[in-house]
Amino acid sequence: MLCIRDLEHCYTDVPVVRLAHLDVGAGEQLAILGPSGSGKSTLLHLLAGVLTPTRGEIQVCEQPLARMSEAARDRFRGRHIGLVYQSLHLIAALSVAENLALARYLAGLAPDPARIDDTLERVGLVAFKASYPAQLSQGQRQRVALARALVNEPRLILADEPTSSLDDANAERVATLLIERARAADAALVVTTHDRRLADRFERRLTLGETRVVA
Amino acid sequence: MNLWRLSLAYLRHQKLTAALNVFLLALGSAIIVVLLLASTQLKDNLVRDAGGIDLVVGAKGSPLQLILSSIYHIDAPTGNIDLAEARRWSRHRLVDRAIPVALGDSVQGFRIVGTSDDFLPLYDAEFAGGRGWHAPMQAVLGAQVAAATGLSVGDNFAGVHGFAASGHTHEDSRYTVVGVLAPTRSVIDRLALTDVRSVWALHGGLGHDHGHEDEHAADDHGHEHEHEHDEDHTHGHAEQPGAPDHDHHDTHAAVEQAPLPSVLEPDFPATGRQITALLLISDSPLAALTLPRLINRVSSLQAAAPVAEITRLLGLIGFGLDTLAAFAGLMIAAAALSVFVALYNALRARRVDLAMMRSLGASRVQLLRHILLEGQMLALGGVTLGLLIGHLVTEGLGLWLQDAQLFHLTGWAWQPAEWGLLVMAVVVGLLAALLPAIQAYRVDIARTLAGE
Ligand SMILES: Nc1ncnc2c1ncn2[C@@H]1O[C@H](COP(=O)(O)OP(=O)(O)OP(=O)(O)O)[C@@H](O)[C@H]1O
Ligand SMILES: [Mg+2]
Repeated sequence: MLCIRDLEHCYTDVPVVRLAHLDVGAGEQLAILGPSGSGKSTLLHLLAGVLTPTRGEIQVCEQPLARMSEAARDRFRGRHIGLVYQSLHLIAALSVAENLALARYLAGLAPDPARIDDTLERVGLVAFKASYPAQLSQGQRQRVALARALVNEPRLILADEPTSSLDDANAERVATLLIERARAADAALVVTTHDRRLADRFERRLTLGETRVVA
Repeated sequence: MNLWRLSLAYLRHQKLTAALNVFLLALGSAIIVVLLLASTQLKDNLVRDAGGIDLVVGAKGSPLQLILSSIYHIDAPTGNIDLAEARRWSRHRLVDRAIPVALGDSVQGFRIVGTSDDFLPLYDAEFAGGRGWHAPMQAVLGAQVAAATGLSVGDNFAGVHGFAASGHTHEDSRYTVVGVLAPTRSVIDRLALTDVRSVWALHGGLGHDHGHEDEHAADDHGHEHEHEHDEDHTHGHAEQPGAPDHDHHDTHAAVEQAPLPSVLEPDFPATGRQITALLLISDSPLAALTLPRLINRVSSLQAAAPVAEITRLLGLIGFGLDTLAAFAGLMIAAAALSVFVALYNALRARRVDLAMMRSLGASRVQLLRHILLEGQMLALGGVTLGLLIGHLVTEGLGLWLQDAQLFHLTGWAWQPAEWGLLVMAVVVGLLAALLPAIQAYRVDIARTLAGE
């Protein structure tokens, strides 16, 4: 599903991310840990094809991201990768349901109101489908972003610090949703976090800075 | 979800800005629409009301005033002219048809025009009811006159001296309505028509000043009898010996069988009689060129060509219209600039949204189209609203002008130039959105989303 070889990325001269070897199969779940500034977000963006690595190769579903054209990579990401950014980036001009509909439309998928309702149902937000992001709490917004990442049934789910700004109850709820949804869809799940509450629920963890996979 | 709905959602999100831009564009284009409709319809009205009349002969004075008073019926007449002299010009070889016009009275503000049977065909007027006059003091009402006064065939009314709604009424001799015309959308709708002889009957041949009109009011019948006496004599051996012109309004029986012969016929006694103007129609293009100069030179009359006067009038109005149009154009340019500024400013805040859309799979071209579409929606929305407002305002203006008995103006007409406005909207929208759209095209998703 996800396969990394000799990956290195530098914004300037200093490498921020250096990873010799990483494989995540379908249905597998991995937490990327590390202190602030250790390159967790950078790695996740590399996996999503948002950033292009300075060196090395990343394959998602047997497709080498770096060798795709920019347009092809955007289309591929829209269709096969569900990405939750650290700062969500919900579209404020659109309602919750419209945010999900936009994700389907831009990925070139047929509109499917039933699936949107179903996805919102699973994150417990059907009642808020007509609300706008500004009218929601931080925890609700986090779940909208999660729903948006799930609505296209991606093969790879990436989430950047999905629980960092949430209280215990909400963090628990989001973590459970992520893990269960990924398992139900048999998708690969990679989350970054420095939140012990979330990290503890993953058996497989990668701590950055040490370049070592904890099995 | 599609780009159209996405753009609409953003416009809704920025309601106030969007509304302001639409309003600015609507205002500019509404002004242009009103100008366009009013100026073309004014010209059409002026041309239609000229009824194919090539020349108007009347008393000396302003040629524009002569045209306005005797064709458009909106100004005071320049004076009266002797029937004998008018008749001489009606006989000129370049003249094909001549129609007398005698003014002086009105009914509820609508002018009573003394003329001949030839007047109606000028405007292709048809009878909605009744028929033409066969004797003096019989009147045919234009459609608007009939509607406003409530008079119909068989009713009678008194003429009011002068053109104001109130004044001295000729109560002693009342007009009988014998016909009502169907609407023609020309000046005839606002006129009450009768034979020249009716005006003479009330005004004693029109030969004297309005100043001592009242003194003579009592004698009017006396005059009338005298004149008719003359008439009877001459027409006794005219071409209709069987139908003597007993046009005294008491002797209906014999008179009402046939239309009255024109007072321009050579055997009609012209002595002491005057008319206000003479309308001339010619098939020869030479007439409009040579006759006015000739008439102005050799007679005490003046001749004016409606076409030349209309052109002069439109030239005067045109300057004002051009200024207004330039002002409206400036407003549209300001609106376009405002649309540009709004889109450009919004784009800064939207850069993250656009990058997020790319992250969700959107192509650069899709984002370009998304922003262009937004400009188009603003521009087309504004111009469409402007067209709507323009047509409504024009129609309102038309209703108001109708009350004021001026020309016919309707908002339910479409000028081909209005398509130009829509094309302009597309261009304005495109120009205003082009730079922001190109910026949307260039949004760097890594720097925008991963750089935060
Ligand atoms: N666009 C960029 N240009 C230059 N340097 C960058 C850029 N983005 C991140 N960096 C640097 O790369 C390093 C890793 O950043 P990254 O955001 O991946 O850390 P992180 O582990 O996600 O931290 P946090 O837990 O605070 O989110 C940091 O030192 C940061 O300064
Ligand atoms: Mg981070």
